[in-house]
Amino acid sequence: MKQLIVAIAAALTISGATAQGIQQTKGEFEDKFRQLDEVLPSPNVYRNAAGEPGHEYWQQEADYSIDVRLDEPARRLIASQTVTYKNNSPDTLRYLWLQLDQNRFREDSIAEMTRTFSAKPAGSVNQRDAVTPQISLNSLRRMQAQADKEYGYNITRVADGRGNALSNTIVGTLMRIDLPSPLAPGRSTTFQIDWDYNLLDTKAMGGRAGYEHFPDDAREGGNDIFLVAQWFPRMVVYSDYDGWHNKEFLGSGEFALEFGDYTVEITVPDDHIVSSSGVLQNARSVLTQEQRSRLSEARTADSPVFVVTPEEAEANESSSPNGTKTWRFQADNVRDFAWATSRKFAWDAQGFEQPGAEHETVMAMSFYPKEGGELWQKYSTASVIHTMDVYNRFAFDYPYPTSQSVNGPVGGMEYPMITFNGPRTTLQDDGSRTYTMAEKRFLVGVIIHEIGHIYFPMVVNSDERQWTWMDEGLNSFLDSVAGYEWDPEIPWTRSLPRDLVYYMISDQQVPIMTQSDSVLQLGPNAYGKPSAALHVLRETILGREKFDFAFREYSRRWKFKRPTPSDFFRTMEEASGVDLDWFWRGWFYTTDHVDISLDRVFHMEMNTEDPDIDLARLRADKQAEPKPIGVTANEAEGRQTWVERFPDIQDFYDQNDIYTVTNKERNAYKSFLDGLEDWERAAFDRAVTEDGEYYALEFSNIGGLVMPIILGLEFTDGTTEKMYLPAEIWRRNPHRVSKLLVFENGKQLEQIIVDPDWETADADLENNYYPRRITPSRVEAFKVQRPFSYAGRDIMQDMKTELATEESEEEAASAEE
Amino acid sequence: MQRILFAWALLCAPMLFTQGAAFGHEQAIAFTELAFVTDEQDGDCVSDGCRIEVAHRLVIHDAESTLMSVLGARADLVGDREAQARLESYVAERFELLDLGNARINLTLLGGEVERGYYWVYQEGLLEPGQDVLSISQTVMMDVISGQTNRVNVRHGGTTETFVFASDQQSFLYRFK
Repeated sequence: MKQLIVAIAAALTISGATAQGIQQTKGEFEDKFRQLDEVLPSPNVYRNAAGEPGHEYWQQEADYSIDVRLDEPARRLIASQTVTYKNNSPDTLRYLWLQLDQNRFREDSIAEMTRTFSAKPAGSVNQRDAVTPQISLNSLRRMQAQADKEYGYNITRVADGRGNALSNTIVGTLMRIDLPSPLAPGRSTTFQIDWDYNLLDTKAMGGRAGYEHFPDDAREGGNDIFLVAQWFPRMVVYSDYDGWHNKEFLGSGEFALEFGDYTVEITVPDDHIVSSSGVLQNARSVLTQEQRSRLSEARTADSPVFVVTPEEAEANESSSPNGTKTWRFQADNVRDFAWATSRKFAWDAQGFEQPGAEHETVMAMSFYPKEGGELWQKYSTASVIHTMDVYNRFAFDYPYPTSQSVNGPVGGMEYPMITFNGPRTTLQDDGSRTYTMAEKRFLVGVIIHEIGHIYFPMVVNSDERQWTWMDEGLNSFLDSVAGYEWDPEIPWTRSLPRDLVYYMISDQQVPIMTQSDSVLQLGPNAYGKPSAALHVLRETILGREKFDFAFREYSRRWKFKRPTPSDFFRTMEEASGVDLDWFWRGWFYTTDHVDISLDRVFHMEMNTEDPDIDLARLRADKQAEPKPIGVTANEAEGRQTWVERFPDIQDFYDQNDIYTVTNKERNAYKSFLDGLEDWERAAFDRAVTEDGEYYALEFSNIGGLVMPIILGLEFTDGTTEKMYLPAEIWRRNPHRVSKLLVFENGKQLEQIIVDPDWETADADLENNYYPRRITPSRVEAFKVQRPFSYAGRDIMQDMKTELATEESEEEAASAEE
Repeated sequence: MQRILFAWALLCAPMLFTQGAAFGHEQAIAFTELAFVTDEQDGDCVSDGCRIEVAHRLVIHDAESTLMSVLGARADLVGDREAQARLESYVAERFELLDLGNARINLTLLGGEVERGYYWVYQEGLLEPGQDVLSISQTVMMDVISGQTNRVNVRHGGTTETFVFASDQQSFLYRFK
């Protein structure tokens, strides 16, 4: 990537086939190390060849001021918003595009109209059978929820700053506003939109936000938790590489957004607690004196302090509002804004210190209902702080004043300064709440992941809809690092190289560098595989020092800016100083997998050219060969040979075999030595004296992905050694390579293992061993030894089990009688 | 227009919506390795018959949700043997191999084990000679997790063929090559 000369027109989107370079018809050479210059978009004044924002980099700015009211009984939002849009691009804009994500849930949206239905009952697999259509109650509930209410925006007004109506056109989940006069570069425009819409029942309809109803709460009619996100018309991104990113929202690909400042006034029933992006501006109006003083105490506390205690929250569950309160929040330089509200929320908080940062104290806070219980009290805010602690090292100081985790009906979702996380406790028959170890791991893991997203992509603002891996892959990598730093005994991650083998060997996959909407199985493609690749890059290829410097540099360069994949690839190379084109090509542009086979190993001795030594060795080798089987059989039968029967027939050649040394050979050896130059003789004498152990190793690359060859060497003297052969060993022949290893005399190899620590996602372990080792399949291994783990019993619940005594057994027996 | 009656599936479990959202850990995906193993290296399943080995890899948290939702069992998969057994039976029930005569090929449920964040379930069976086409169905967790997809790698004679099962594609035909 050093010679960025080749300009490829419109090379913003490239296919896997192009990435392979030009196919050849002669021979089988594949250039796995071909530089990526011709694949990556040409550098320009906005994005330079080093992967940095160019000297004329620009991005738009959108500031929002929103008044929103929750109609709790109707579960409806009513709002009025003012948007100030600044055109920092060099282009004149005649219209603006906005995202109307709620329209995805309209009955006539593309997302709804293209929902597919399975007519095959689960139990019938034979395709020739007549099928009985079957529908689940889940699907029924969703259909009924869809029919009961109208979803999507009701836009009641679009007007300019003076209140004059603006012409607008709604196209699915997008709205175009036609400007009365063109918006020149460097100029701003202000417009207003009034709207309302019905919130979704998240449990019935899905989605990343909505409400969850708790019918069993003491209050008549129950309670709700409202998670509010993708809730207001947001500006579509206008970028240097894609113009307007006006792509229909289908539900899968997430968001591309502009940064801006937000002032949001949220009016809710006066017994609600609100968690929101930003900082609360009017605590005096909405919090009690007691709550404000607890919040203040929390700033310097060593452990979470309750602002609303669980007992208070549970008491609130049966309260009824006397009116409304308006909570005012300010959030600066954010790309989105979300909030949550409920009377069920307990609220804890703890200050996180980061000396020297823009926000030296970050308020880490958690909001959860009684269903969160002890699980949330112990682990939520702690996980939020742990995440910032680790991510600050890898990226930059957390750039906002608050960092929040809220429990509700969404399993896990991220927004600036606020995340929604789903895991909860289980209510037992005795009224207590317990949780399994898996649930605890899930809560800590999901909070780390979602808070991690505040760095990627909320601050390093990659385009999620176009390239999901840029935030999910990088974040999955970092969340697994943070997971291990929490407690290495806990199996946090499923995105290590070894976890991806099953995906990477399959013949149904697309390269990571495929646009999100077209990616089959986003999980392993956009989360797992890129994360595994980054683990390999950090631990195996670059090493921590080089990787961490480059990754931090990427984060610094693109903080509050919008990177593309090429910016990441270029920065990691530039900053690490290592040519990684082969790595990006293999892991991100192809579906190759890793399977390096150690096919043969030859142990060699160097010829001394001294006939008295070399010929004796040859004789010994010959004598070590097994006798021909017919000779052995003859001996077994007691059959005498002719020369045994008639010893007199023996002659000179029976006393001197073909390895016998004569002076002719000795003279030749002397001539050879005399003919050597001084330096040749010195090298020769040293090699003969050292008499090293020479091993020739032959490898083949079955999976296709070129990777370093990592060798675990075990010697006959019991010592071990790890050897690293860089991936460039494959540069002349990506299919087969040989390597000569030399050890001192007597240091002989017992065993060689390729990738002994499972660092590279090598798919076939059996061919990694030399000599070959029989590797049982998982099923075979399981049958031999059935393990059982005691690691995650719900001991909290099991502890209540009463000990069976003889008396109780007798009682039980008599009861049965 | 033909008039047909719907059969109501008896699934009233809460639905976990995972598709699309940036869920860190609920990836709604299960992997299965289905291996047809001959005793001899160049053996032929169709003419000689062969052993069937099945290893399912489920994400523990997804599997616990499944237990809770579908089976009504307390979801404590890491340590509770009873919960494990119920999940294993559930998985075995929802993975099917049918021969061309529409008969279900008997697979013995061997059990399961925890490995880091995964729960593995194992089965084995025998394939009689003469079968050159099988129907495979893998619908585990599709009744609980929206957008659940299951990948099955079929391994036979050194080749790997992958089938991706989703709610609208619950079975595939596998042909021995």
